[in-house]
Amino acid sequence: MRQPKLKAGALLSVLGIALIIALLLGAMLLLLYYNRKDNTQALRALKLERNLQSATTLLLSKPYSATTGPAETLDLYHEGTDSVQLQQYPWGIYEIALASAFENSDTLRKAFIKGRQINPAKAYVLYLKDDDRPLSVSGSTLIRGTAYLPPAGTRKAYIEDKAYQSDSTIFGPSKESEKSLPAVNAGLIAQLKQLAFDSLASHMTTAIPFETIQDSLSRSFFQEPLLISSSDSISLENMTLKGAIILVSKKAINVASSANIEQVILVAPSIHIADDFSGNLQAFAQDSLRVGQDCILSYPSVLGLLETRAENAVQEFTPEMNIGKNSTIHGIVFSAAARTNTDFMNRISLQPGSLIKGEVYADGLLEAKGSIHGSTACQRFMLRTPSSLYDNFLLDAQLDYSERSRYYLGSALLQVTSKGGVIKWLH
Amino acid sequence: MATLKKRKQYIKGSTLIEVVVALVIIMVVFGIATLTYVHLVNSNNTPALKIQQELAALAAATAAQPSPANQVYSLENDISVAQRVQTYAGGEGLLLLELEAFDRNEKSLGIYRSIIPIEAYEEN
Repeated sequence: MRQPKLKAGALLSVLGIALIIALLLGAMLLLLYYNRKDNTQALRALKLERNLQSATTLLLSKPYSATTGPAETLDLYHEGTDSVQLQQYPWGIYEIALASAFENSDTLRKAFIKGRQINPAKAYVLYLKDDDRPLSVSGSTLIRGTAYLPPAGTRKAYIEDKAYQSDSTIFGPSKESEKSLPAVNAGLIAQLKQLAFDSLASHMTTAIPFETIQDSLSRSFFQEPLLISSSDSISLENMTLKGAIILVSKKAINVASSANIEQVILVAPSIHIADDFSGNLQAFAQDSLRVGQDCILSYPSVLGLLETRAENAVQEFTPEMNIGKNSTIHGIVFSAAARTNTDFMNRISLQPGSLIKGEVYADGLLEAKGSIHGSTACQRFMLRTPSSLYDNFLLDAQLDYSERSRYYLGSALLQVTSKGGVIKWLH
Repeated sequence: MATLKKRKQYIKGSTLIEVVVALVIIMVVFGIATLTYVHLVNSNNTPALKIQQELAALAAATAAQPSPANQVYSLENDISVAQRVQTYAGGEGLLLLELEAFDRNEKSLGIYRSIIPIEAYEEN
């Protein structure tokens, strides 16, 4: 019987072992390769983040303080290895700034709402135009901060069965005001007026009819803003609107408390925000802007009354903004007069319990029954009670600059400083 | 006895040539693998990443200073960092901050560049 062959070839065994070793080492090499690739990607990500930060710094710097337009590509260090793209466009009274850093197919980008830093040396709690009459204070009125007042100064008054409760009328330095208010950015006001329905109709063809919109719409700020218009009244009930959306009506816009609105711009002759609404918006009305009770408009929100009355037009009504009881606005409330005539001036009314955290600029009358934590500028104060109408009176008003957040940033509308700041990151 | 004799005829051991060839193959495979591995390990850029992170931390500290200036820092493992600050040509009120790391032989290990604002409040 023939026995099977017993192999004892060392070469075959060695080849087998060598193959196993080669496989193991191959696996290790593969591991190293991916590790190295990851490191390279991490290095690139670090570099892109760094360049994006530099791009953001550039956007906040003086040369870009008023630059808007198409995207601009920059080679940061002129070596062809650090490319960034910068873009800015106006968004209400603020600006949207876009920055991106890229290398090969990798891109990092950021979008933010840009504001302006406020010069502490020029900051004030109150700027009351010199109208040759004093400011009368009564009740629990508090004015804390630097106040620019008419030469006639302040006086304590007893009205509506209330006497002024403190010893001092101003808790801070007092300075003399001018015969005019600090100027607003006229270019920006003109730009905002261009958003009105009649102005848009003449030069914009890209508007989408409001009737075609579903109940939810979101638009990235990296895209061109979406313009939605209607020649009729617009009611925002159970609707969600977010991002780069401008809503324009020829008649009126009603914002219900059920609406979910973020960063949207509203433009109409009349705007009404219902009680209990909470959101973030910029609303610009020509005739009437009413904010209901218990509303909260988060930072940065803007309420603007943009007069369009002709200088010598026959008076039909007084443009008015009313902020209801216990409503809080974080941002800017302003009115811009269209004429120099001081009869029938536009009016901003803050009802008791209302709070503005930011700035109030009334190029007209201001009825301040609520609180303003920040800066207030107005041509004249007024006070309406059931029995009387008082001129340049404050009753139980709280004007306190020290209560404003130290991180608050203004806009190009009121504080024309070139140094920008990031108000809010968007993406 | 006859059977054992017959079986012995079929048992084969390795020849000296086989063993030598096998040894050479193993040595070559091992040698190539080791050389490649060592090369990859040495060229791995983990230290570059670490240095970039350290430079980023230094840059953040420098950017927070009111008036950053040229200076040299010493890090661990005999690594030194030269900080250079100059006006950025692309914009007013901006500085170009450069941090370059060197080993003990003055070989550059990495460079970090960033644009930072001049902290002083500007008024117009």
